Amino acid sequence: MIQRLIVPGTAAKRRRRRTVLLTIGGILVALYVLAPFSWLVLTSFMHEREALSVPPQWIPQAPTVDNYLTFFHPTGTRAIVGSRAAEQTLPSVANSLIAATGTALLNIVLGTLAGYSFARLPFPGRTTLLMLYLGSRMVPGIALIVPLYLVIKTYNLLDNLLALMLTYLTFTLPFTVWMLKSYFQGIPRSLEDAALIDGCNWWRMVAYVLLPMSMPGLVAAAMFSFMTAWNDYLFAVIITSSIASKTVPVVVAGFATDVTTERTLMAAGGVVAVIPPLLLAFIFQRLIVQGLTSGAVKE
Amino acid sequence: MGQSRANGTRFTRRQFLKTTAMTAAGLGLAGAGLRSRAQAAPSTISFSGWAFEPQVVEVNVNRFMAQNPDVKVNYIPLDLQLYEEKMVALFNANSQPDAFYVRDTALGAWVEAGWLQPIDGMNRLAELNADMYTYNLEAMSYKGKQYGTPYYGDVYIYIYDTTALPKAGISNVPTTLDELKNTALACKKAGLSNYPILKGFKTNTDGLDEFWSMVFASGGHLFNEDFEPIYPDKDKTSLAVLEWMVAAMHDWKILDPRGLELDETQARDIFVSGQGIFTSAVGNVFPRVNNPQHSKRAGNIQLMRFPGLTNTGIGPMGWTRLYAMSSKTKERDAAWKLMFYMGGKDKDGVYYSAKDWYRKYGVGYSFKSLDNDADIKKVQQDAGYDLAVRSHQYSNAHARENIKAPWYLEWDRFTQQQIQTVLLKKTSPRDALNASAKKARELKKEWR
Amino acid sequence: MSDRNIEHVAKPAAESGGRTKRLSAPAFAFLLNSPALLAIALLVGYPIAYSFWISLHRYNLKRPSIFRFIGLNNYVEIVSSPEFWSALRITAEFTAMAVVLVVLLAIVVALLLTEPFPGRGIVRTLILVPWAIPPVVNGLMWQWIYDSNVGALNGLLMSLGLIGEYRGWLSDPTYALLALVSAHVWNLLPLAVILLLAALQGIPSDLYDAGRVDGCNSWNLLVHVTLPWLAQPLLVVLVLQTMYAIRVFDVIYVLTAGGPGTTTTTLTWQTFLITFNNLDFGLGNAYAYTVSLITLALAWIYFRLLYRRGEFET
Repeated sequence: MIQRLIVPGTAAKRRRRRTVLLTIGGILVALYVLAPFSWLVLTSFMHEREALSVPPQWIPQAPTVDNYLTFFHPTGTRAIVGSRAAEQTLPSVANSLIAATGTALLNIVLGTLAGYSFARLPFPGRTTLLMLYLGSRMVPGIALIVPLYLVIKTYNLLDNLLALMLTYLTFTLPFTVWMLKSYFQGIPRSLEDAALIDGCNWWRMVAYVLLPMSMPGLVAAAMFSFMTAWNDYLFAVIITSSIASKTVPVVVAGFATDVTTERTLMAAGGVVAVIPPLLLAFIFQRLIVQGLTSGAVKE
Repeated sequence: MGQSRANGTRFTRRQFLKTTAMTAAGLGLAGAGLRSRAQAAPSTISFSGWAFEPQVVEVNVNRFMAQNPDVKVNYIPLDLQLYEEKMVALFNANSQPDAFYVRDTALGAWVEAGWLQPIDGMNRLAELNADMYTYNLEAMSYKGKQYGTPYYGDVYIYIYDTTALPKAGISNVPTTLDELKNTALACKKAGLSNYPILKGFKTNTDGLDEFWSMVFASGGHLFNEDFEPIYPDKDKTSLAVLEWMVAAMHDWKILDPRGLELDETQARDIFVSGQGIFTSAVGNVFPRVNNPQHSKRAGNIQLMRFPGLTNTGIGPMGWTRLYAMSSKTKERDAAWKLMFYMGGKDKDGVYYSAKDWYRKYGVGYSFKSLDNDADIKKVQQDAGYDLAVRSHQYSNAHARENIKAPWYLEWDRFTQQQIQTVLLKKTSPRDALNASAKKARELKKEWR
Repeated sequence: MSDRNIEHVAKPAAESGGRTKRLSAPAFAFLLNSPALLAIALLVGYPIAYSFWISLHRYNLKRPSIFRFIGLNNYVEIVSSPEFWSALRITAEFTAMAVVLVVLLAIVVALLLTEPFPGRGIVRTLILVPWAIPPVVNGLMWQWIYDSNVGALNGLLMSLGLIGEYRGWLSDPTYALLALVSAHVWNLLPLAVILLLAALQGIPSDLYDAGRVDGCNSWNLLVHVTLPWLAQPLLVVLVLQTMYAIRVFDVIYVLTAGGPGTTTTTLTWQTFLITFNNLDFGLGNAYAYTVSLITLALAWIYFRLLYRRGEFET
């Protein structure tokens, strides 16, 4: 947006230089982001010995997909060590997806409701309530694990994905509320009022006016909660105990046993763990763009 | 029904309720199977351990159930990482399994917390104890009571690359730290390795094992029987050992300083990839480093006596992981049957589990008589052990002297940090050991 | 700034909305908040209260028989121990470096990604990659990168001729913390970028039009339009990142375990050790609450700084 406003009237040459600089910036960002990750990806296509070679073998000499195949045939050609983790990898991806998606959806619903109240309604104790939300996230998770385990047991939700979803929900909600509040505040009230005057009820107004206009904010909040759930290790390792609810980080960390740490296999596990959120991110990215264009309505 | 008949005329209220419940349940089932079902009603116990090769445990548990149809075991492997943390959460929520693995380092703490129950006088326990290595047996009791049967026991070993010594012009395998220094210097001079000694010092479960082993092998002690620290002044061994380590790293440059960031498994993986000439490791690493599937230097690695200041003939430290039962289990007998099978003998009187672990993963056994077992011998020959050294090290190993103090883990971790700080040259060996001894005294005082 | 001021004259939307017509604004607000509050209260309400209550007690799991109310003694013990001050200093260093780096990088990257250039869509997707890696996997990945014997970083620097021999980055007390910071920053940058990016896209272009009419150049527009607009989301980013940095656990767990020595032993790592290694729940929870208080204090400072003109209203 900015450049459109600043460059008019100057030579096309200057504009081109600007684009070149921006592109270089973009490439640098991409490099920063990709360099460490590509090492993980490359390692996942190596044989164990190659991964340990000095100097590092940047490009696998004899690339192999064995590491990935192990997830489908855990007891196949590889050493039996770690096969349990290998056979649990794919189901754990499904678990992670369910837990993270559930967390994100619940966040959007509950976060929109609460966020709206802070953005639009004057009510006594707003600041206090918002602080209360934030305050609930201030105690480090390490201190909460043991009593939380007891709570989850009381609800009879041990080793259940619902327990993970609810746990992550409570961890992300304070921030979702806050994010959506500040996002809603940036949206002109006039459209909302117009919709209400036109006879929409509140729910319809939220669904058809507020939410579509808040798309970038919603996507950011959804991604935040999705990723938080996707990434958690500490709580998942304590709350889950079988493949009924084990998530990816728990399983991938489980590749490292006393007797073996197969780097290549763990690397492949790591790559598998990254694919689903990346695919989703790709879809989200389109939504963000969409949100951008819908934002143009405001102009 | 079946129950009342079996009990003859004595028919208590409780049995009545039980029978009624069974009858009620039975009405929904096919009549034929009911009688035998009610008679054999197996006790169900839950059993957990850190998930080291859970599929192997599963097979073994099934074998146990086949041999003991009266016990049904519900095996739930817990994650290897954060096992103890998770068990704390389970105990706190009162949802702990009936039987589970315990590390000897946590035994004192867990007994004091009231989580375990002693197994003294259980059926045939004495039979197992009689055949156990001293260090294993030592590690399983606390304040005069025994709490477990061995899952596995092992000693800390010192290993070296046999091909390096001739190249460096050395013919004798070093037995003392001084000889080790000279050999390492010779290897360094011969250009065989920048840092001939590789060792991981990152804080971890086994982080203090080498220090203990060197102190033991030098004939020294850290604690007396009352868990009172006697280092670094009353017994100066530990000070001399630590000074040797600092000099090895910084003066002679034979001990790799990068070891400060490596834990046990990382150091091992680097060693099998071909770096370093000497290293110490947990016992089950030996078959692995000589296994061509895992190691570049398979066949070249040999065991040596754990080096000390002088050649005292005393072995390294040894440790035990054990099967224990919950203080709250309602199925004491069933849990014991499982403990006896897993940590002892099967129906045929064979140490099946111990042999199975040893054959498959080189995970150490705790029973002396297995030294002469033909299967075990074969494994040892295949792994290329110097059997004389092996037998010497295992029979002369010791449990850590204050392992049974409920504050052991706190002291252990603190001391590991101190040793790291010494190796960073941020404090002197004496100050570090004094700090460690002071910590021990404080902890001990807290427990008065 | 017209849009933001609308809220000042906010009239209860509830009054004009269909089925909620009869509710007053406070009642409607309460209704809207109740599901979220209920979820939080039911799940973490007890743990949070329990943790605080325990922090006021002498309670070591190893001695279940001794459970005694001791008021603030655990806190006194904490602030009078050298371990606390050492861990606090390390936490402060880590947090300062991590937050400053993340926030600065995120602002630059987010501004960059609002400008059109070829391949912007791809970079916008790629920026999410680090975020999609669970911290525990991130820790393992960086471990292999930093590895002193077979690591990629050593290999790279060596082939570029920047170092003469392989170094132990994580075994060096100076580099260990920096190594942790950069692994952490890499992992958490995307979150900050996404939040700022979303906010940047919400900037109404009439703000820029107005600025341009007033004769602002691009730098002035950035300082007077863009950054003030980012104040709120920046606050979210700052609080979130501070919280993440102070509580960093997984990377330390995998990479250094608090070492070498105690050079990477942060308050959170110390809390973990005291709670689970020493099983001292009383002291451990007091540590946890100390960490909470520090986080809260920092959050309060951010609020003050970013809203010093008194325009912050929640």
